[in-house]
Amino acid sequence: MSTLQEKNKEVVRRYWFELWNEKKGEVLDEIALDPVTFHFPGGQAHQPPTLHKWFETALIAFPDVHFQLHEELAEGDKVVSRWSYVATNTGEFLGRPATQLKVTDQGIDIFRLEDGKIVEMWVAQDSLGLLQQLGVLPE
Amino acid sequence: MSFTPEQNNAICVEFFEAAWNTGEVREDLLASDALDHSQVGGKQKTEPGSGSFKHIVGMFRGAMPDVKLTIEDEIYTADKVVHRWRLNGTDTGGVMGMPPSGKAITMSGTTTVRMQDGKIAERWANVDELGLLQQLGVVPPPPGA
Repeated sequence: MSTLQEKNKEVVRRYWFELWNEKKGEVLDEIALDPVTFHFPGGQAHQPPTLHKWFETALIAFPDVHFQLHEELAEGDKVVSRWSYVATNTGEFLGRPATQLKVTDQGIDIFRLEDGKIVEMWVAQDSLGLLQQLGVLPE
Repeated sequence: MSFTPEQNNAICVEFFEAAWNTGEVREDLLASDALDHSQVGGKQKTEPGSGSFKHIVGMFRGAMPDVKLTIEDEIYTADKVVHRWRLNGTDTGGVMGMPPSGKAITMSGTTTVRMQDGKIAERWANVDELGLLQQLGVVPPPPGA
């Protein structure tokens, strides 16, 4: 494994652990271009325009969100993370009041990096399952 | 026998193209105790063997007999292969027990595979099932961000 891939993995680990788990919004500008180019599935429940906005919304809707990184691999300029999270919906989400429900989701994200920063992301997670857990859609 | 990441990827391409485009789940490319961790179609349990692979492929091909797989990105290293892909097909068979809509459907997903001795030993996948239901008009489109 060459150093570039190891360095890119380090940046993506900061994304999961420092940004999302430690809630350090200030690392965003160190680890990602603004804006990052997002590729969401058509059915992504929440499609924020920027990472800053995404982080802000998540802190309102799911302030205790905690991610686990189950797998990471890097090839070329890409890093892949297979992850899961648990979170409690204690604030407004998608225009709906807090449900106080504990939810979980899992997914596989692909990151493309340039000069040590995340520039592009392809996101895949279970939005259907999330909306069912929140009671927005029937099981 | 040891396989390179490139060989592992080629085996995955062969397996998934055959499965989606022709309906044949190639048991010769699948470990006999292969684990499918994907939760497609509300599946909760991981069970060993080809059954889960056959069930999922059968479910989607039953709904969209003309389904075609396009692999949009391939990332592989050591014993892991990641594919970002898209399925395109026409709902002439009916999705999840609903009557056929006749609609053209496009659906994205990402799959991670662990290879062992040139065979698929484990599979994780995320499929845009909500997007599928939205295209069928069963659930409303996503709210504004």
